[in-house]
Amino acid sequence: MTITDADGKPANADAIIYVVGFKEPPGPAPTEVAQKDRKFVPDLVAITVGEHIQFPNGDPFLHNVFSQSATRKFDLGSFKRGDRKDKDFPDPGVVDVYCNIHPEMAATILVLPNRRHTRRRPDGTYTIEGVPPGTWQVFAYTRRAAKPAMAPVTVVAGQDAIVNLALTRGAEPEHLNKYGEKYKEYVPTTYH
Amino acid sequence: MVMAVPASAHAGRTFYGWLQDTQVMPERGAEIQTFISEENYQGPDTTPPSKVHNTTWWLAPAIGINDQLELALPVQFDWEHVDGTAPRTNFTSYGAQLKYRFVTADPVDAPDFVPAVRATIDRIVIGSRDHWVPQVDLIGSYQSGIVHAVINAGVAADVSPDDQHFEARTGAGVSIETIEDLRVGAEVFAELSLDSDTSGNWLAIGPNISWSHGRSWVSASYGIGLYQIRDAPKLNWGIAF
Repeated sequence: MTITDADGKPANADAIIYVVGFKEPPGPAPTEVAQKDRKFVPDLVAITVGEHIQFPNGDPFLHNVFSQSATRKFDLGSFKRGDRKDKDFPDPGVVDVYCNIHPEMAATILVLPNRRHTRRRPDGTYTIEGVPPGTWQVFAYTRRAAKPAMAPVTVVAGQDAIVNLALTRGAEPEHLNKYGEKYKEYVPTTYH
Repeated sequence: MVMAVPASAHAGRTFYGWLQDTQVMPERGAEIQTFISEENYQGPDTTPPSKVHNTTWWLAPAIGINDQLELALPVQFDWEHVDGTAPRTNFTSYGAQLKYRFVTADPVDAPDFVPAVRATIDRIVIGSRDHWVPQVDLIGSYQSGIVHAVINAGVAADVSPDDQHFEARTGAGVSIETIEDLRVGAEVFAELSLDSDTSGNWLAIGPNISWSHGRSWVSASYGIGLYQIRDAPKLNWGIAF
């Protein structure tokens, strides 16, 4: 699969490719999205409906995690280094999460109906194992994409199916804080 | 004696005027919360000095200790006017209040019925020393779609070296979401003596309204007196940081 920026130049960005059309229960282990160096790591993650995400704070200062997305609104408060908060995601959809303290922190969570999803490799290829036979839709999504790329796929038992997808990224959209306001001008703090 | 227990120190984020709600702030959330209330008494003896008008201004910083426990440190000022006498303004009390919500505050995961408890202690700084007003409230809220209902059952004590007085502070209300975050409803609230001094009893019923926007919220009710009070309006307001 290919990803290009709005100016047409190829971009080597993280992307998630997933199949929809059938449901599966979530896996046993919760997914983790860490807060490290004023970033969410990873900043793009796919989970299955009903799965939890843990948010550990690895920075020596407070972080917040909140979402105003219609799929899952929440506010985990502010918590210190070493603490972690947990949140469940009972409905499918896209959830954008931010930190109310640090405006540069943003991540996207794809809450998917099944576990058939994977990440794009650096060379642009991907493999999704275990897709049941049938005709489904395969999507690809990267942060900053205006919309996911989609193509139909027919899976036959014992055979590989190849789907080429192309995504176009835009600029990082400006977001508001949890009160619906613009962030105050950020002055980096020096820690001694 | 009217006003045996100083005016009710009811506050915290709420859809209601006089009633406590089960809402709490997230961990390390911080708000300034305040209210202004009027209690315009009209006791059985309508000649002065039994008619007391009391205006209360209550102000508190409040923080979320964790996602279910909230702490506020209020101060309270009262302007009291007994008909036929000169009005008095007092710095009445300082204190602390803890509110604990027994279930998660996440609206997706929370059950329809939410129980909470609130405990307060106020030190009265007018009159004699060692004058305290502890209060405990049991709060239950129920959410069904756009309808929110709440019930309060509280007991307050007025404990000083000279006297003790106990009263129930109880009520119930309903709040319905209309457009955006604007809610309207009605509530009934009463302060009822649990001992022989019933002069401060009152009961009021009236409409309420609340609205939240961004970091601010406001709620109010206009209690129309049913017993020993003419009216009891109250305005609550808070802003988060």
